[in-house]
Amino acid sequence: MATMTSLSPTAAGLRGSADRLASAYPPLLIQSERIANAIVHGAHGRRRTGPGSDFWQYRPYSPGDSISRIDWRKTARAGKTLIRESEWAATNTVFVWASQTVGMDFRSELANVTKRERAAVLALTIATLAIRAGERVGVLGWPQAPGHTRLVLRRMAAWYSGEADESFMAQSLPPEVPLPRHASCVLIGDFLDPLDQLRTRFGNIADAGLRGHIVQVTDPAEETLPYHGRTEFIEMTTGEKLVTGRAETLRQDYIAAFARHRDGLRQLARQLGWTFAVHHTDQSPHPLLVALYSRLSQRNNTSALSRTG
Amino acid sequence: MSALLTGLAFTTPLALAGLLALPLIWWLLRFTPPRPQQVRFPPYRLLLDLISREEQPQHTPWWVLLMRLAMAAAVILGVAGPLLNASDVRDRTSDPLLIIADDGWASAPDWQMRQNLIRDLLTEAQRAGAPTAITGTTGSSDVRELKLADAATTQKAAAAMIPSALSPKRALLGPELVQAFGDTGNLRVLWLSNGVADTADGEFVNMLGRLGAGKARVEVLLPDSARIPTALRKPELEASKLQLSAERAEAGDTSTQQVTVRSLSGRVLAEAPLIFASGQTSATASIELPLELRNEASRIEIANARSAAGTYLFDDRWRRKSVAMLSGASQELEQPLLSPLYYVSRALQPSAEITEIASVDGIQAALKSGTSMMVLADIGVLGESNVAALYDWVDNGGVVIRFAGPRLAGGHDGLVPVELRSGGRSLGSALSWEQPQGLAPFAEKTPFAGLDTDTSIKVTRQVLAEPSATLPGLVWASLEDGTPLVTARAQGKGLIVLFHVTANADWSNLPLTGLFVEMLKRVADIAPAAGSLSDQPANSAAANASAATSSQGAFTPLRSLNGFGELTAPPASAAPVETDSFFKMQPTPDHPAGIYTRGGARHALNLDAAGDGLELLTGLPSSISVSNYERARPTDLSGWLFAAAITLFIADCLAMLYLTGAAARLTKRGVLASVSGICVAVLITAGSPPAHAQDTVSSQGLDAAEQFAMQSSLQTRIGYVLTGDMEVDATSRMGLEGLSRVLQQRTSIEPADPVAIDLQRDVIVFFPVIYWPVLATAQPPDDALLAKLSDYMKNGGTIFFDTRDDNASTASLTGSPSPSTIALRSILDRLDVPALEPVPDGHVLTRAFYLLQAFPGRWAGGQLWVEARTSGEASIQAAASDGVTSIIIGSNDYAAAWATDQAGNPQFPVSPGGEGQREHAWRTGVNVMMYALTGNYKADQVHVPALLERLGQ
Repeated sequence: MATMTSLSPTAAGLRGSADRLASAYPPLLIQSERIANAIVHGAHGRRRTGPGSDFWQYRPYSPGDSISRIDWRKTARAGKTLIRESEWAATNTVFVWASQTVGMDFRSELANVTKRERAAVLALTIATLAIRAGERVGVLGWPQAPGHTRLVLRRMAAWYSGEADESFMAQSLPPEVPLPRHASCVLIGDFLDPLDQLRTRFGNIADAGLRGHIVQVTDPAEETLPYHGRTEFIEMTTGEKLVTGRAETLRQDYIAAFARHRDGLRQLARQLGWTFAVHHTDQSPHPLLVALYSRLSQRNNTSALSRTG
Repeated sequence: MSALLTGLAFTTPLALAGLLALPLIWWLLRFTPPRPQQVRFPPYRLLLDLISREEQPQHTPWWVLLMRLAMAAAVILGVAGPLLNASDVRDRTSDPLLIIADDGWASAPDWQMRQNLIRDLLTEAQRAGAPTAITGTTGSSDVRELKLADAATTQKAAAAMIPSALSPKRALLGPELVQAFGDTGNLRVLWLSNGVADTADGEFVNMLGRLGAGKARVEVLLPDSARIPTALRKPELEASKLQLSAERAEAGDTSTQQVTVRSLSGRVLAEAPLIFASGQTSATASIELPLELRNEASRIEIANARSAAGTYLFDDRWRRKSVAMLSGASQELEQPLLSPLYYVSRALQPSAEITEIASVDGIQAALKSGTSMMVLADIGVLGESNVAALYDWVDNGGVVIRFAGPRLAGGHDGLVPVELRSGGRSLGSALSWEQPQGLAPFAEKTPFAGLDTDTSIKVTRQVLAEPSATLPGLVWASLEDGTPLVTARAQGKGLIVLFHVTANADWSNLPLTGLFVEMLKRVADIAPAAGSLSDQPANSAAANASAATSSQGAFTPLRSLNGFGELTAPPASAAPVETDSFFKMQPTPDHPAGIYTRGGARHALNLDAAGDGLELLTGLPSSISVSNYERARPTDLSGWLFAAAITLFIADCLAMLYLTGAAARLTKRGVLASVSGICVAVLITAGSPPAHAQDTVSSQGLDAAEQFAMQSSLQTRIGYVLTGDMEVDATSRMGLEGLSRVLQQRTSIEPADPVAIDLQRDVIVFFPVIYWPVLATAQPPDDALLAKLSDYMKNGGTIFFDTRDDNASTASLTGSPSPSTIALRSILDRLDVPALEPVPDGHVLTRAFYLLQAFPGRWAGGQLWVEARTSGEASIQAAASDGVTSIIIGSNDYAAAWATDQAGNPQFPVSPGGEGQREHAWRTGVNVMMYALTGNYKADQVHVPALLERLGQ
């Protein structure tokens, strides 16, 4: 029998779990081919001149440049007036989204946490790691712009612990919002909706130029259907009921259907050029974090199916 | 199957209407399926496709329905009270019921079964409201009124019936039944017969047919013929064997029964098997019954047959007498027929043990050996002592029969019942006018009452009795003209009888006739049993004789036999029996079988059930339906049905568990529960203290005295008396410890630590030897202590007194004994101490373990004193203690010589001999202990040759 956790994880609890998880990892620098032209100073070198701290080039002085930028030492050596320019270091932006629907509140006897809590912890951990590295983090659907300070984490924690707008809670898919280009996003949820809807929504996100990483969080009971005998299944959002005489007879068919759905998800991700990972709530989040970490921080060569320009 | 259905009946058929509710139950159950478990499942959408393919059971599975219907049906049927094997006769009719129950000896073994059957019948009748009546067939029951009454009254009457030791007399019952029930309509008659036929059965059956105006329904229940008890006939006595014969009703297979002879207290004296050959209805057995057992025997019965027919009661007539005979004439072996004792012995031989006494000197010995009766044939004068002995014996209950003769006529001692005239009387001789006379008939009040006189008896000569006022009361038999022939007088508890003729045919031909035998038998009947003189005052000859001459000659019932063969108090209807009819009669309801008493004599009236043989009751007309007792009682099925309902309920619960999937969940929890249960059990057993079957000595449950007793007796210990002087006590302790060590090393005695004894407080019986160092300040013991000490000594203990001074030196200097010796004497004064002597040369103490000549201790001068050996017969005290002296007195301070510490270092010097003397002191101690523990076995002569050899003698 599934138990609904009526109380959402507290913000402090979420921050604490996320900090504990994040303490095992170094700060996450998110790699991306293109980095958005953000003014905020980051760690990524843009290979052009711009605001930053690394030396880029010396160029001759042209009228209109600021006098304070002249490098007098080099000028004295070279004989002409030179301006020292530095590389444009910019930040990457990563958008995190953890599904907050009612269906995520499911926890069976086989697991210790609800899916929602696990998703929230994962999201917070990624955010923490990115912010430590100086990247900018935002939540898909937030009205505010992504931030690179720890204030973002506090807000995220408050958001996921339930002190947030109810309307956003009801959605099982990432919201349709205008998105900046050349960012990454991490989508954590159970993605049990029909594949068509998912395809549409993910496609929109990919069209915006984001590179996505999908994490499907499932409860082991959803995967194995461990019920016997006369069982009544109730839909979590609508309350629709379905009674079966012997639940164990459905098991094999259900497992096949669930695997099919997951395969569909995986294929969708591949088509979009995104990555796909599965996480079970009864397992430790570390393997997933390691995978996510490596995926987010590696340079990904353009694939043939990439939609980014 | 049809038989099963016809045998089925219901006590509450209306409850079967509940079965109409079954379809309703079915309809309800159909629409209440069991409750499923609820799961809120996010991937609901995925299930939608799957479940639509499978059927959705909204109803209960059919087998659950069936189980529940069966459960409801079982409960309803159970409430309806089904009974199996309810038969026709016990249909609930309100017709009147007459029960004729045979209550004779043949009904006794299965009487309980009959009672149960009657109770069932009457319960049914009560339920139906039918009037009932019950009657027995022997005429001995208290049910005299033959009329229909309600079942409760009849039940009381039936419960009060018990079988009697009589044969049923159905012929007498028949007319009474016809008179009472001849016109009763719709009568049902049930005859619970015992299976044994009577001569008048045909008539009885006719009478039954006339009951109820000829339309009564008669049914007879016959028992299995193997259950009819075996009937025992009167046993015959041949020499010392008892010959028995018995009859059984049906000649069937070989069967063996045990016949036992029991004493009054029920103890089995003898037994023999009674074997019926196959096809035979009679069997014989013989039991060897020596005289003493025959005197004790009170009944013969067939073992395990609770019936009066298998019981035969013994009375006084079976008890054999022992008779001693002495005749004044010399032994005439060449002419035995002239010997006076010949006829007497021939007369008494079948019924008594005859001892012929050789001479007058043997009278007293014969009297002492338990003779019942003494026959003195023609003895004139016995010696004074013999007469006195005979008087004493007669006073105690013996019977003396004297026969007259020339010597008696010449002069007699006083041992005669009446004064005799000197000279006799002769009839029919050459010089007399009278003819020899015959006997007059015997008077009613004598023991000879009932005997027929033989007209051929003629008396030619006799001695005469001196007429006196009391003479008529003392005459037992007389001649035709009234002259007494046999006179008798009670003396104390016994009897003196005088036959005024000789014991042989000299003076009359009475001894030649059978009457003589009968007369002597009657007198022997009166005599007490062999060896039982003066034990049973009720059985005394005087009492018997006085009863015989008293006015009450009737036999009154003392104990009566009931149908089970048990002797009980006589029923209220039992009446006394006149003497002359007693010996020929059969038991009747007014005179039941049992023990009757007349005066002090007991006579048994036995039921002779065998008669001419037992016949089975057969040949009943066809109008009477016959069945047997082994019909089954109706079995109540409701219990089974309820049990089935409960089983189905449990099965239903299990099925529900299975269907809702709770079983799988519970098994997981079940594992947890069982594991936790096992853990709890392990913890409990691990935490509990170890349990012993028997408490060890160190347990706290014993109090101080018990603990002292346990410690002192579980191992051999030497005790030493606490004198109060610490040094002396310490020396005693160390000395005895040292002695114990030496004993352990050298001998097989392994004493444990010595025990200090406080004489006032402790129990001293546990110690074989008590070492008592006597101080000069020792107080003489008080009475309690004296009793303790003398008990101890009498029961085999040994006290070793040690005055601890060197007696010889002190005594030689001052001439008076030392203070401790004086103290010792004061102790011994009040003890019961036998004579003492110094240990002599051949005493066992000198060779109990070591060969010793002297017994030194710390000093060497004193002597060891022991009990003096008494010559001739051993004293009782010595015998009780196996000849071991109960007191040893020394003065050489042995404890100091033995005293060593733990390391084995001696504590005190010995003088004058040094360590060699100490070694001798050890040996003395070892000898004393061995002597005390092994008794006198070393004094056995077996050892003497070896010892002599070693001693060099």
